[in-house]
Amino acid sequence: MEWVLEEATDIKIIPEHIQLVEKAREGDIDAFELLIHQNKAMLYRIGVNILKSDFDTADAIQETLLIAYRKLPQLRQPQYFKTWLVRILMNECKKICKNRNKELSLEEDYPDTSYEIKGVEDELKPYIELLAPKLQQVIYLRYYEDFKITEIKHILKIPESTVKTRLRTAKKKLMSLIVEGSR
Amino acid sequence: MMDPIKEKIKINNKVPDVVEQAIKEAFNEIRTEQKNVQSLKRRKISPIGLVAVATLLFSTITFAAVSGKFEDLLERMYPTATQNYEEAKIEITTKEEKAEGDKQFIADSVTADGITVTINEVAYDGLTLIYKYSIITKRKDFPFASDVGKAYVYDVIIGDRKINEWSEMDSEGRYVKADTYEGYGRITFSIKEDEIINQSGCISLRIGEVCGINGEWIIQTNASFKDIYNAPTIYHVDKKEIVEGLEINIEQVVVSLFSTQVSYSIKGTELIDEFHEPIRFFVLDNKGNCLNYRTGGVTMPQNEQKTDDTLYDVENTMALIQWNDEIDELTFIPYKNYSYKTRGLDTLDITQREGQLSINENLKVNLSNIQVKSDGITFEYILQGLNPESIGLPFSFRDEEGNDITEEVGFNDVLSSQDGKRFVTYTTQYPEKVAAIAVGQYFDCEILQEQAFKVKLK
Repeated sequence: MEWVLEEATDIKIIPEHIQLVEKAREGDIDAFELLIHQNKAMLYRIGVNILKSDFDTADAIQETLLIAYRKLPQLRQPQYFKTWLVRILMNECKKICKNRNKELSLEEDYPDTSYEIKGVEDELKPYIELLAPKLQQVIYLRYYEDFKITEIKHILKIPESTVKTRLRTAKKKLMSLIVEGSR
Repeated sequence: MMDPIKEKIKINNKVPDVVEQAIKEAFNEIRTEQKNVQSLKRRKISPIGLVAVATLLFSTITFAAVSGKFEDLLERMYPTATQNYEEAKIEITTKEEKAEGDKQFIADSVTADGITVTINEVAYDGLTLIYKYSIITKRKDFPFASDVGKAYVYDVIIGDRKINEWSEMDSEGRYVKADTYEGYGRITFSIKEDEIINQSGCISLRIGEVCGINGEWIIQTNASFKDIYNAPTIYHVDKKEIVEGLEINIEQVVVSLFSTQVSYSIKGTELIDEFHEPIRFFVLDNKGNCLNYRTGGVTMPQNEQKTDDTLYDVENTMALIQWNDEIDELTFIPYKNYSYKTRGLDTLDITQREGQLSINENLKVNLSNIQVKSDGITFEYILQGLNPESIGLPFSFRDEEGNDITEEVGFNDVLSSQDGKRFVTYTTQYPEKVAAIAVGQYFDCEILQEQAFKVKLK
């Protein structure tokens, strides 16, 4: 069966969320703090899946918050706050990986069998762990964190067509793994 | 069809303690940092909350809040509108007030929840609708301090069509007398004026919030947008330049009664961070005066439908704070790598009554009339040079050892004259501790002077 990708054509704006971003952008720390608390679980899940360590993830998130707060006045489109925040986090994760000389190759086609997805506890987890990291990433961002294709493009800094291809490949592989697993 | 992957997903929202602690520590650091930087930016209230057009960012300007004049409300809300509002406005009367035989615009007052709202005036410059209103009530349960006399139009409707999607609103009001408040509000539209003025039907305004109380007051007028429209002057420029490998097109300059805006696009062949503009501009008039624009507005990625999605392609609008009819040429000085820096290095001894603080080689602050009083410090200042912001500067105050004084009772920065001079009042219990004034947070950037270009307005 061919999967039809959901197109990110409809950008849903949640006014309260946008309002918070606007307030935070104007220096309202309480608004910024609320935004972070709304997004902290997502930040943790994304961070820990790159760094595989709660302590490293905590460092990355801490640095992300400091950078985000300082750069927030420059954020021009409040509706992209979450995407922007995740991209800062991913940059910080990459820095930590580099500094600690344990960067996980995101370009690897097949992961180590001991690769473990953290922050996720569902029946898909063992199957996602069998995917290549770059495929895990798009599945993770699309399905667990509900990012749109256009947002994933910005987060991963890859063309939209690449996001779509990876997502399509990941879904195919995932479904075949699920089918195999159920036999 | 339900996606089978989605069906199987379970999200775990647990965050380990070590992450919670890291977040807590980050906020401790942010709060400490913030204490040292007195932000001047006033909270902007916008139920829709989207930055739609550059001029909207005027609402973050802190203006003459100290003055008691009713007209100052308009200046606080939308400073560039004050000069022409009186000639642009259309008075609205109620049916009872209507005089026989005259062509008049009518809108009855509406009472709901014990609050009566009346629209007294409207004006439209092709971009922004300004309305003047009054509120009468016997209710005693409002307003909250920050909402005194404010009334927000949530929907602008022509016929059956709501036209203010993605628009921004603002309001300033005040207590006038017992049970009565008055003020101004504005809606700056994101859709083009043609679409608005060609829409047939009369304007109705759904006010959704009065003095912090939510409700519904629908004011139906007999005026169309054509009736109240003041056409702007549009200079079609279409000036193309290459700056830092990016294709810049200054498309047009729109001078309306309430604001001046420059529309431009930036295109590149690489994927550039779309969250931040790669290039911004200082805009100077014929005499070399920086028109002090504050950037903002719509960034419209145009590449969503293109096959080559690595192309950077945005359209933008910036508003100029100052304008005069003698301007027939603009100079655009590009800059990049902009950021806010905290804690300016230059300081001015408080015992001097005047002096200059250097922010960077292109921007200086001239301070004058510095006075140390029993309850604080006051002074005037004016910026000289390339300033990208319309708002005032956040000053910091330092003790004899050069440390920032974080204790503060109040800080007020108001525009005191049309030439850009501002008046600062720093209220503190310990004025004797203050030894020097410095700039607390400032804008820094890399100016690309050699890539400046001129645009003729015809």
